[in-house]
Amino acid sequence: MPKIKLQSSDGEIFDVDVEIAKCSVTIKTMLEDLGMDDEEEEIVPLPNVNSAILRKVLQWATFHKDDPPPPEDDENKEKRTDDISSWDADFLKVDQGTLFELILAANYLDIKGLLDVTCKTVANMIKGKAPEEIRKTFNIKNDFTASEEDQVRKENECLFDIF
Amino acid sequence: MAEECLSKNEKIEEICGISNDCELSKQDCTSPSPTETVCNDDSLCPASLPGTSHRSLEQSSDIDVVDDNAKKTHFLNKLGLIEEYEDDENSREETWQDCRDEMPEGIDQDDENSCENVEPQNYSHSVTPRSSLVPGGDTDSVDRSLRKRKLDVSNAFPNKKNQLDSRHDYDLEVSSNQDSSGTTPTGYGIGTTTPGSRIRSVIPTKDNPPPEMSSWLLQFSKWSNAERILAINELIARCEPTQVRHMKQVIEPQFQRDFISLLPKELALKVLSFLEPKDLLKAAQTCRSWRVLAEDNLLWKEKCKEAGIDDVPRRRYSPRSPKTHKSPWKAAYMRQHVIEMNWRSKQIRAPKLLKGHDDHVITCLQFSDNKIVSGSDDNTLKVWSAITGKCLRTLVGHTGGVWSSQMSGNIIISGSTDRTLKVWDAESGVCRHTLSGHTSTVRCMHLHGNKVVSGSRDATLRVWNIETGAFLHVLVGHLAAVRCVQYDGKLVVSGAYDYMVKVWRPETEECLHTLSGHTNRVYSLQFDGVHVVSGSLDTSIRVWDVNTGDCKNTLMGHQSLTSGMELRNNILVSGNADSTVKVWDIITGQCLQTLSGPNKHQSAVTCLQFNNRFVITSSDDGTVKLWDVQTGEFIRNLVALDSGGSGGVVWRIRANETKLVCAVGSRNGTEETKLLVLDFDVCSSNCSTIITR
Repeated sequence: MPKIKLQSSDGEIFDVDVEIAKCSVTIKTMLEDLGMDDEEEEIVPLPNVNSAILRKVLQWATFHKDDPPPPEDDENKEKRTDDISSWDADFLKVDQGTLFELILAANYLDIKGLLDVTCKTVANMIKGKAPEEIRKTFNIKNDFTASEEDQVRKENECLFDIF
Repeated sequence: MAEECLSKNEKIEEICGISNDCELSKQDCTSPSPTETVCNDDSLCPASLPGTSHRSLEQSSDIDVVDDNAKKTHFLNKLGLIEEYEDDENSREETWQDCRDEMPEGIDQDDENSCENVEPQNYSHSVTPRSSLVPGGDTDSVDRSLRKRKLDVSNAFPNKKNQLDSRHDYDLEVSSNQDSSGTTPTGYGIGTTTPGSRIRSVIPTKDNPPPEMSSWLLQFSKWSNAERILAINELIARCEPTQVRHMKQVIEPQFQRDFISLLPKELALKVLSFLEPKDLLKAAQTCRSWRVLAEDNLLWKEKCKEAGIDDVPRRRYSPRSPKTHKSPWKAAYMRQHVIEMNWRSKQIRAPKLLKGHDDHVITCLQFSDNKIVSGSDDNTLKVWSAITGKCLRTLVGHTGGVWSSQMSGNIIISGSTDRTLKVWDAESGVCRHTLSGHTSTVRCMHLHGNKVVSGSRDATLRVWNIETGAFLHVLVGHLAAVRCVQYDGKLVVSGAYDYMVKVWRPETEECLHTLSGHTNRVYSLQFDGVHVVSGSLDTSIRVWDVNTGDCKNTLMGHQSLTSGMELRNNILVSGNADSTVKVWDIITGQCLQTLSGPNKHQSAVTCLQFNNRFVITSSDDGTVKLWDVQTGEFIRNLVALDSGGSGGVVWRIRANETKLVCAVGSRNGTEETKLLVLDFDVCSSNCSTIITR
């Protein structure tokens, strides 16, 4: 299988199957636009992804290389977050910093499947939590003034009992 | 003592031109150590005694900090040392700011206690050359400086320094602290940070740490990653549990990320798009930046679409505080949700009673734009206001009972046993046209645009122009009374007592298809332009293709006459005289739900209406019931007449988003004929703060 070399922001070179690398639309487009021949030993620089994260991304892409292309978003359909595969769930048992960088990398590399599953994972960390629990989870400072907080609560809390 | 020092300090302010209030530059914010505080106190407060307790020194230090800083800066400037300060400060500032306000209160005490054990060797620290920087160092103050040194050495443990410094800095620099900790992700891997430089920045004066520490840290920073990790492991192994716990508290926040605030907006919104509305409401209460994103209008538009809300309702709320909802779609969602809950579970407000038509039967009911029209076998129609409940007009003119009606805007059309249709002006109550031609009772009609199609017991259908009153076409072919008709502007579909359903092209007056298959009278019809659905006394419901005339599905399951149906998006809801209601998928022919069970109607279903959440059904048993269309579950009785079971009947119902109109009465005099109007709209008593403010 033809390979290409990907270079992370910190200079590490990754030898990757072209088909796996092409799950990134960014890389796929780059290869097509630049007419890079599979035979050539080109190095594709990825200045926005460090080696630790690129390694994770490639791990994900390798596992998912035979997946069908993800369906387009249907804005009329309720979005689910309970459909994360157990492999992905295990794969994403990482600290928040890593998850954060994975989201940025998935977005930069344009890997919809990875972006969806990472965003869903963050959404699941928010779901079902009270505001104070959310703050604790993400180390967020409550920067509302007392009167603002009162106002915000009135705006958003009054329906709680009926949800 | 504290007061005394304060007055002295005021003098220093004058001298140095610095006040406690002034914004301190960065080097000033690199807080002084308590040691310096003591020294300065001593030099300026000759009255203070050598035996001053540690506690009181600490109290005074809060006041003296600023001046100490000023003085220190002054001194360092003289000595040309200030630059070194700034370098250290700037190099690692973000890192230590991240953790400095995380210092646990409890460590204070532990460290002070533990210092007693290490007292002897600590004295050596006080004779570091830098102590000589302290101004006004008479013997007394050196003594005290030594004493303080002792206390401070315990403090000089990096954690303690951290804490003391952070307290001052936090007070002075709250906002900048938030900024820097919020915007600059720092290295989170243990191997990537260099604690050595962090500690230096936290203790920028270099006066206080044990002298070995800098070389210790220097050594650390020279090591490779693997060596550092080994050293860290060894360090942790030597730590007291409280120190390890402290380490955890310092490190833990570095593994957290405020995704929503830190991600680019479109990615943050993507995360939020996976949340349900109830979670978005909680997210909005977290902090300011979350609130802005959790109230994004497009986000809520998506939530509205998911919930089947297609329109932002026009603003009819008080304009007093238009900023309450920045997102009109959120407002729409919230409003819709309150209304849904009013239907589902909130206490039902007492209905308006609209009495009329004496003890006659209400045969047909129309409701739109807060206008209600009831037709009765007392030969009249009445126009009511759904808001005030007042009878606006009584339409008098028919010489027989009214059995069918249509309404569009200000126009009302009625069909009667007197064989005519009449076109009325709802506002004035004037009869515009009387449409004559049928030779028997006008039993059904359907209005589209300015044309109405009427079906009669004379077995024909007629097409009329309601503006001019002109008779346009007659459709002949049925062999018995026409009982139901649908017209979509192109085709007319009719159901009759000859068991047939016919599809007509009115312009040519030709019958395109005769849909045969029912084995008894056809009573009800639905037509969506593609499918014709017919309900019959033969207990079956048939689904036909209007173009080919083929029967696509026969929906079996009811026990009796299907009296009323509603079709939307290929979902059919049918009400039957067997007292049940069924929900069907007309494409697959599958019965999705049967609305029955212990709370089912006790006798024939008379009327129904549904939307994407609810089915509302009325019955001869005197009740109106609300069901969940998705699950088929009974929700509750919206109306239950006292006379139910002894003659009280709900004949007809009509509902819009917020109101339910019921035509009720009895055939035996137990229940007076009337309309009930139930209101489920948002009212001042429920959530007015959110919806109407």
